[in-house]
Amino acid sequence: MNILKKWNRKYRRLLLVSLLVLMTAILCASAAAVYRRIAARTVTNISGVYLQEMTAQIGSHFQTNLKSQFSQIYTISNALAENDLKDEASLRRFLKQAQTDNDFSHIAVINSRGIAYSPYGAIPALSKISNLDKLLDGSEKLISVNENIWESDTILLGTAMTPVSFQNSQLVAVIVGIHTSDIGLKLGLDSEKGTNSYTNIVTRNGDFVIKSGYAEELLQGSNLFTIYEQQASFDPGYDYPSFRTALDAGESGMTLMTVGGEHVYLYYVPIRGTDWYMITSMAYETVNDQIVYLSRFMVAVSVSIFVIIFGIIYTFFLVLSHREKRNRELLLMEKERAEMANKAKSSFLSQMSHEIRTPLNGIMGMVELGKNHLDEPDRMRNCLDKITLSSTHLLSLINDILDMSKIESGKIELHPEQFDLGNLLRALMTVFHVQAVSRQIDFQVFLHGEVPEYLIADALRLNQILTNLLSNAVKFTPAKGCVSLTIEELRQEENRIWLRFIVRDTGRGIAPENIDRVFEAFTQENSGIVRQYGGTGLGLPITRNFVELMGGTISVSSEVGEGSVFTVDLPFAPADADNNRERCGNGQRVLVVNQVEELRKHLVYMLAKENFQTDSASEEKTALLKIQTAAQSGSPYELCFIKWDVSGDMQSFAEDVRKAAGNTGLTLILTGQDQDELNETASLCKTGFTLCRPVFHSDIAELMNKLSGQKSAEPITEKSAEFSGVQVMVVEDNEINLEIAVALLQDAGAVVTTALNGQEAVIQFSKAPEGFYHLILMDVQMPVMDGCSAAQAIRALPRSDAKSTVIIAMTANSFSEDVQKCLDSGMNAHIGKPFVMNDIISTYTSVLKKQAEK
Amino acid sequence: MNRSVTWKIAGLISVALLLLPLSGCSRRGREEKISVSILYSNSFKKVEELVESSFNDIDLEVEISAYSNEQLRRLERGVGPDLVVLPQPDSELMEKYLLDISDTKASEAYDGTIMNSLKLDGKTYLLPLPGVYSGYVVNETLFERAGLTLPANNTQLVAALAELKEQGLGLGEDEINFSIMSDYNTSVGMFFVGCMVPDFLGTVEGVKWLADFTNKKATFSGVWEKSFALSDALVEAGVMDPAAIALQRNTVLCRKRLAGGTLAAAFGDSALYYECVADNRKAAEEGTAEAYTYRMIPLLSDEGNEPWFLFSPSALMGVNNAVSEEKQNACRRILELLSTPEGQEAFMEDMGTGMSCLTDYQQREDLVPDGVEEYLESGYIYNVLFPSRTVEYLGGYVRRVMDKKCTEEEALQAVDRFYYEGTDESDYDFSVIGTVSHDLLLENFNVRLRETEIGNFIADCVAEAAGAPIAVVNGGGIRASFYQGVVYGGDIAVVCPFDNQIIVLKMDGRTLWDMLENSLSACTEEFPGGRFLQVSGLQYVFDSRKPVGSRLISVKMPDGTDMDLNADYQVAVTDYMAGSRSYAEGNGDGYLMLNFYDDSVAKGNVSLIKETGLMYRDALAMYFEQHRDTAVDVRLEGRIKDLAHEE
Repeated sequence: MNILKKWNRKYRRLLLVSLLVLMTAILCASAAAVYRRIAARTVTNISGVYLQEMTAQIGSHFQTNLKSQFSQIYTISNALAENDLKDEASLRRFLKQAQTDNDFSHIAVINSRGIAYSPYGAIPALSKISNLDKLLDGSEKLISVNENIWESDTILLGTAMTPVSFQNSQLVAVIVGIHTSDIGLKLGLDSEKGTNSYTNIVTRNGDFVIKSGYAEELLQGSNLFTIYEQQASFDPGYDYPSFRTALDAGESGMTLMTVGGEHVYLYYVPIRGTDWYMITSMAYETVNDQIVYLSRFMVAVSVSIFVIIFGIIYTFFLVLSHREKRNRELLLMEKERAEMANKAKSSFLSQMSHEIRTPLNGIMGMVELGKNHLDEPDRMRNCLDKITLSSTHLLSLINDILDMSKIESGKIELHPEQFDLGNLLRALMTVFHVQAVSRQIDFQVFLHGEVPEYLIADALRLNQILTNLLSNAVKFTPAKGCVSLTIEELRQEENRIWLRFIVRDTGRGIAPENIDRVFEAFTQENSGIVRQYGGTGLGLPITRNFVELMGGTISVSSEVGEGSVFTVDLPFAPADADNNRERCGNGQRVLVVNQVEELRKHLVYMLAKENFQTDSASEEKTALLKIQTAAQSGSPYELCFIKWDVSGDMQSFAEDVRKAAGNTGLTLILTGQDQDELNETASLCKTGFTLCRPVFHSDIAELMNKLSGQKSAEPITEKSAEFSGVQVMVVEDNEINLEIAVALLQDAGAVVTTALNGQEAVIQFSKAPEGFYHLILMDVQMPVMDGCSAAQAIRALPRSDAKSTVIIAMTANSFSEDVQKCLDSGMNAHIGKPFVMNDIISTYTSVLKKQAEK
Repeated sequence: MNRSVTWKIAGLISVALLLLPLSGCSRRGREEKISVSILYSNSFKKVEELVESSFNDIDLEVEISAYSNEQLRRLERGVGPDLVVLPQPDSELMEKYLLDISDTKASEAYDGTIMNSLKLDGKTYLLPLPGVYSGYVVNETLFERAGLTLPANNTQLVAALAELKEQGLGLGEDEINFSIMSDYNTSVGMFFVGCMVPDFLGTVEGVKWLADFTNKKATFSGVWEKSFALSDALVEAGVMDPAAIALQRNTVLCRKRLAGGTLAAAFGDSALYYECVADNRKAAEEGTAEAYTYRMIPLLSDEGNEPWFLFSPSALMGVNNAVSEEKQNACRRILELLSTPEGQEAFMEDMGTGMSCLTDYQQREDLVPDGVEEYLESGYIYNVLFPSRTVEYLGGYVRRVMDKKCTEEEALQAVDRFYYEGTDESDYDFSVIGTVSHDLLLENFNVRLRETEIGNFIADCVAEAAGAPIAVVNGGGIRASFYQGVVYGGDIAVVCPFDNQIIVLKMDGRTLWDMLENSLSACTEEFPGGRFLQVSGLQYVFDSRKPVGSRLISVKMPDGTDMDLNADYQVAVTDYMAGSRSYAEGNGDGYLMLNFYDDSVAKGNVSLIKETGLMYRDALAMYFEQHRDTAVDVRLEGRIKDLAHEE
């Protein structure tokens, strides 16, 4: 059965191919036939016109020539003088002369008794010349072939003459013989030699009157029509009967035939005044060759055009099909990717739900546990600590998820603004320094060369990018590892400054096969990592999205077990503030003591740029020696920048330095990257001056201002803002949240009033005396009047405290747009819900600080 | 079956389909020779040789037939020869039975004057065989012996012949010394044309008359009466026998008698001249005749005009249009071959003389008879270019005039009528009188050599009509065949044209034996005599190898008994055999033992039972009348046996 089917299929294919070939062949054949027919018709039409013209010309030549031949004959007869008629001998002489003069092959005069006198004698012409009677009675001219009276191969032309007496009779007619080979020329029949044509004169029934010399071999026979009837094969559309019918009707026309192996056109036209026909034959090839050449050329052209068109179409088709194939593949790939993404999302979702449930579980469990041990404060605190921990983790998870979904839905927008790169970096440093210290990781920030301090970009995003990269680095780097952030200026373009941020770690690295996937959302290198390191796996994808959004690039290189290097190149617009700055130094000698070469070099570079005369040392002894030497040489150091941990005992080292410097007024400045540590060490070293890395111009300038102010190097002790007595209005529509906020603030000693929506807040604020409220914590999404509108309304109130009262937004919308919206509406800062008391305090403090600065 | 095999097969099928229209059916080869037949009085041996040696696929078969109308009848019957040879142009026949050969090279190879006159509507159907000069062939020796100069005009001619007769020179048994070659009507007609040439046809008026006549604007009657003047004078002078011309007796054997000195002059052609010269040389060598010199003299004038010789092609040749295309092509090739100098030579060899009509042919001077050369020189050679058989008809009617069956005027009118109205076919009796079941053929002189179906049939008819138990019919009296199918009234007159009466004689067995012995005396293969008897009511056996006079071996009666030499038998014969035309000059076919009428020789041992008043054709008519519903189905019965062929 199967074999039968298979055979059937083969058989069908066989049949199909055969049919196809046959069809093509038939098509080609019919095309060729059509072409041939049309070509033949064209040839015929052209030939017809040509032949008609030619025949007309030959015809008129013929008639003219014939007439002139006869008038020549007549002239001869008229030339017969009396002298010539004296006797036969003199007549012969005359005839001989006439024959020679006119180049006739024969000549004779005939008397009324039918005796023909020729140069060779007299013979009776009776019964020897056809139609002699008509010649003699003068009724007809004579044209006759093959008459054997004198010699063969001559055509006799005879005409009556004016009778003259000769001997005892009258000479009545003249006959001349012209050789058949000459007649064509003499009568203008064979003039068209170049065209392969010749002309015959025949009677109405086809009997030759004058046979062309060219036709001699080709047309053998005495009757042209019989020759055509018997031997010619007429081309399609022509036949013998119609040819004869036309001739019998006295019409002129054309026919096409092959006779004697030659393909010829015949043009036949009756000769006026006679019952003869002139039939001109011309080789078909003469015309056809030209036409065929032309048409072959055209066919070649059209075939090549066809081939080209076909080629184009075919190529087009190929490209199209290729593209379609690729599209299909892409589609398939997209589909796969979508499916994978979907799958990843689902697995992510399940992962996330697990991730979310885990801290939730912690929170709820601890709350439950806490309830049972209300009377055990230690136990209770432990529970609450764990609750806090879990909540923090939960929050970061949710933040990431929300960020990612925002990115996915394309709702992220950039808000470029001028920012202080130094501040941004210091804030980062503060955060990660603490983490790094707690994880025993060496964390360093390096600046290479001069890095612009003020730039224009979306600082929030930049912060996020660096935070993500650094937190990853810290997260994946084990204890005793290193994490560093290096910043360098890549290049300056017109209106653009490209900075490179390199985050290095000595973490576990990324396997090569996964290196491309680390930036894909919802995947982590492997799910084990999630379990080991936690996190959403969204950090890098979000980072990449931000980088790309900002017009930069991010790349990663990594070796498993050695660590990873993330490189981010970002463009920034230059800020005006950067341009017009004064140099801080005026050639003072300074010494930089720093055991980390990179940091030392950078600081030296920075100070040199600020017009300080710099010197450096990498450890205590050299430093002391240099200070001592400088002091003794009379050009002592004015400033000495000492890294806060250059010596194990900073207190004694500071004393040594001072000792070495003597009373040269050397000012000690501690450098480091954490202000707290610096402050701590500064108090040990009894100096009030610190320089917190990374160092920019403004930092040095500020330092110099401090120095010139000669403010006592009193260590700044950060006082946490006290809320006691602070009038706070909490605007919140959610009662639980309100209660929490009120409780927390009251715990912190604040006097709290509440409002349930923006409108209430505005009313309460406007009712209160000026300066009554220190702080307004404003929820954003509220009924009646939202937070932003309320803030705007408050700022717009005609009160002295309308502008100065601190308004901080509390919102669950933690995206930058939302934050920006809040700031735009006149609020001073923003804290994201959920928050802890510390968030409020620090934000409030920083706002106050900013206001103070202003 | 794997894929590549599938493709190969597909390819093969495609190729086969593509090649299909290109391949034709291959032709099968063929080795048989094409047989081409000719019917003519000459055996054309050299021509046959030339044709067959030139074309190895052609077999030329020449059938000798002395009777020109046999060819016409065969053509009409559709069994005509492939190559048709005619003595005269015949427009009717050309149109009907001949092929237009205007597309052959041969058609333009011949003299235009002759060819123009042969054309029909500008087309060529016939080609001229080499021509002969016609004039008087005279025995110069006899003229010299009589002290006569050769005559310069007709009066002198008649006077000279009368003088010769006076002196008993050149006289035959029939007391005449002049005749006209009269085997064929054409040659008789030619004499009368010749008579008109010097004073009429050879003048401008004659040329105009002929042109007019050809165009049917002039007539014989009223113009040609004077053509009889000479023949009348000759008959008047007793030097010519009109009965011989009229076929009322055996024709005068001009060749034989000129050669033998029993004819002083005869109107004939150059062929006759050369035959006479040759025959006389032979006879002189054998001692049977004196050696003579011969000369041809031209046709003479009565009015002082220049004398002329006549010239005409000895015959015309064309192609039967009814034969297969293959044969037509073979015939064309033969015509092309014969229209070359080589072909003309072959004709001349066969004819013994001839002047080719080819335009560029170098004529052989040795074939110009004595007396003709100077006329060739001066141009007084008249080309006889009469249209459509008029000369032949003229000859035919002249015979009737000679037989006093019609007047000269009637004869000329008849010729005019024939030419003007087309043919004499209106005279031919097309009424159906009977049928024959198969061809009763007269071919190759069979009725003069052996038992034939046609001979048996006619003899039976004669016996029945005469009411005699035995009938004999001389083969010379049978001149045509009966062909399968219907028999027309005209047919029997053609088969038996002679006006001899059937009579019944009583004779004894001895006379009967002698009669049969005489019938076998001319039974030679070369040119058998007409005296051979076809019989009814008896059977005989002979041996043609034996000498003349002892060839008859036995005679049996129908019942198988031997004939009794002493018994009396009643036998139907003809009055011709019984001497009604005398026995002179071979008349009566030598049946002297049957002489009943001729008083000049001894009577035979016979007695007349009855004169039936019936001719052979009457006997045939009566038979058909009486057996109208039965087809004639005669077979050979063994009535005549030739031992020479039995073995």
